[in-house]
Amino acid sequence: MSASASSDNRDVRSTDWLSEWFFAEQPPYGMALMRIVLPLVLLIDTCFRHPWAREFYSTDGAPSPLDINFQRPGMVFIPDGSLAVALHAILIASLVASSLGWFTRISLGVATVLYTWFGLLDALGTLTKYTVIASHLLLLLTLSNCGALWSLDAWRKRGNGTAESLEDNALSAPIWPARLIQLLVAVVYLGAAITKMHTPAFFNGDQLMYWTMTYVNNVHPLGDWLSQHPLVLSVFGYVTIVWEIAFLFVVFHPGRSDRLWYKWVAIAIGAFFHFMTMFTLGLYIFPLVMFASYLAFVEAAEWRWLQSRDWLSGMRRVACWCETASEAVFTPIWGAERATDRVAYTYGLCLLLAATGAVGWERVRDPYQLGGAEGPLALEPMSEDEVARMLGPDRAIRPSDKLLAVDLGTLQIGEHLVDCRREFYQGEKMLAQVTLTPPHEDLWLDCWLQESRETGVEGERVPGRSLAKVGVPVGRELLRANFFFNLDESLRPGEYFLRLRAGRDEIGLKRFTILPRSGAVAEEAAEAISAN
Amino acid sequence: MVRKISAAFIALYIGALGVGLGAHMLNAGTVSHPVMYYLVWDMFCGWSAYDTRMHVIAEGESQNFYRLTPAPWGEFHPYGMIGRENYDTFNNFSAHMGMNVLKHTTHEPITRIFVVEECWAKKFNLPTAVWNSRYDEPKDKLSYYHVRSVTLPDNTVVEKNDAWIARQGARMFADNPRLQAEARTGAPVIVAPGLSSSHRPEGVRIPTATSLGQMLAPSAN
Repeated sequence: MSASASSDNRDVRSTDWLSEWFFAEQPPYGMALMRIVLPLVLLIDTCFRHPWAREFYSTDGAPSPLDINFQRPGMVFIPDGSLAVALHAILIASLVASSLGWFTRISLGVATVLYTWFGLLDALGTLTKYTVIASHLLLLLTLSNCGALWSLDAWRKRGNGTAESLEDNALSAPIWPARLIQLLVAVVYLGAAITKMHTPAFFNGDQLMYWTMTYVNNVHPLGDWLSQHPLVLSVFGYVTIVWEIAFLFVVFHPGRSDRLWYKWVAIAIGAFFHFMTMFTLGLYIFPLVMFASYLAFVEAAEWRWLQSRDWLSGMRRVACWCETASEAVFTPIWGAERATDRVAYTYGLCLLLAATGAVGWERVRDPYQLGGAEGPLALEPMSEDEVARMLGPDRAIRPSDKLLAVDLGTLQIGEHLVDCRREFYQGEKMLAQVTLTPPHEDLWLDCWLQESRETGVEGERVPGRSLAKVGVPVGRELLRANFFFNLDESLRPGEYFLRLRAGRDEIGLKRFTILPRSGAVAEEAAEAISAN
Repeated sequence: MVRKISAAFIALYIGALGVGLGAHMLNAGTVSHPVMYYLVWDMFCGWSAYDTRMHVIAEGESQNFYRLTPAPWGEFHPYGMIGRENYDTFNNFSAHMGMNVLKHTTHEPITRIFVVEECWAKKFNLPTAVWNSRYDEPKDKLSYYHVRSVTLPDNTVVEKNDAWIARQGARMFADNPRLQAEARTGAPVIVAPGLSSSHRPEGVRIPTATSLGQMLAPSAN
């Protein structure tokens, strides 16, 4: 009997805890901040795509609906050209209205539907994982009361006397939309970790190395440098996956109310990680969307603490300036009493103007340039060389393309050479690491050590007499082969070459220098070196 | 009432996230429906060692060829510096993009539309300064071209091929005399009512892209 009662009490306590976690009432500071920031981020992408709306999203263009990729054609309705342009303009207007907090819930609802739909219409150039995350965020913002703060709606209600002050918690509402966004962010990171676990060659840095050498995103100068240091990438790979899994547990640490440190450390690491993807992978919008999502973690107590800081006075000045600007712009239109019907008419008029203006502007702009003096644009014939190159028979992979690089050093950690260099002292044991590019067949690699000789051109040296050869088989599943050379004193100081051959094909060349051992006199013997 | 609806939504939403996570973890049903794209968080889907660009070209009746990408009115670069057709990993839309260009331009009658894949080793993407510090050879980039599909103007697909990287992987896989000999004797046999004999194809069977798994990792965003 007592055991049963105890169990019941535990159930009640856990239910209470869960209920409190989702339904605690707080002013929506974090969600209001996200409502302001997220639509502005999404406007970057949306505005850049607007001139292409007819081509990407309509039957008068070349849409790429996602349902085709999933072999379920016909699931996504494709509009005609003018309708696509008009609705895309309404999407832009609704994002602006969402950020301003003008009929917030309606604007966010319209933005959620249109943003998701346009994504589904263009799987090639619009839909990607950050647009999916943004769709989730917009939906959850719609369901929240994020318009109750720092919005035109709140300003309007204050003007007509229907809004109450923050102090009596009249603006408080259940926190569950913010909680769902927090869970979404944690699940996204967990999913990303699972993907990495499924990805072959992620942990040894090879996948990341090829990613940093990929130019389908924006420029990424740090990526070029990192691609030469796969060991660093491998370490970052481990750190990333540990953080992605740990995020869920750290960010919801029960001590979050008393010790903000845990949650904000996890978020700060996340922000740093996303910030660095701008420089390593050339991702720009993705980090901004994730930064916006982090705002859902701001709780009322934390915001009040922030407000008490002096350095936020600048932000308060901006808020005052916004309020003054609202007065100046909207009072002449809505009147001092800011009546709801006037505000609604203005809202509808703005959406209508956006749609009709966009369609009219598109007619003038003529995106396909059909109305030129000579009619539509004419196609120019390609040169015969170009056609022959593109439509000629498929070539097998050139042997030298199967080689990524030959690197020289002495110290290996894991699979990777750590101290890549070209100068060695007599007596050192040199490691020549050959990195291959997938796919390749089973290969026999020969590595030749050769002296250098002058060509007659000043300063130019080429491979000369062969001193040693080492060969190893490399299976198709392997991407690295190592050759060891003992650089004993039988090798005179000077320049040497390593030549790499796959069967009869020469695939790589590497020049290096042997320096005299410190304090030792180089011997004149020219015996062959010992090699593995 | 509002609280009950909210609780139901919370349960539904968390359940949907859980379904996506579970499907992703077990690799089951992740492509069963477009909605799974909104629930599965596979932001790092693998990158091959070769960079890829897609070209859409058309053949006219005069046997002149015309570039359809980039379109003559300009090209949008959705995520950086390359056109939208380059993200068509599965080659589902490129020919259609070409037809849109044909629809809005003047040209002679067209007989065929080709989607051609261009690939090169990613090491040639390295900036010259990085290249010079690591390589002693000059940068000698070679592009490989491969026809992914041939489509008639009436939208009939007359040829569709695997991606170049998958084709190369298959070639290397088949470069094995023992395997070739066993493939010749190991052709499939179908025993079913109504079939008088089994079908035995000539030559060596090259494995298809799906049998090559990870080699197919697309270079897409």
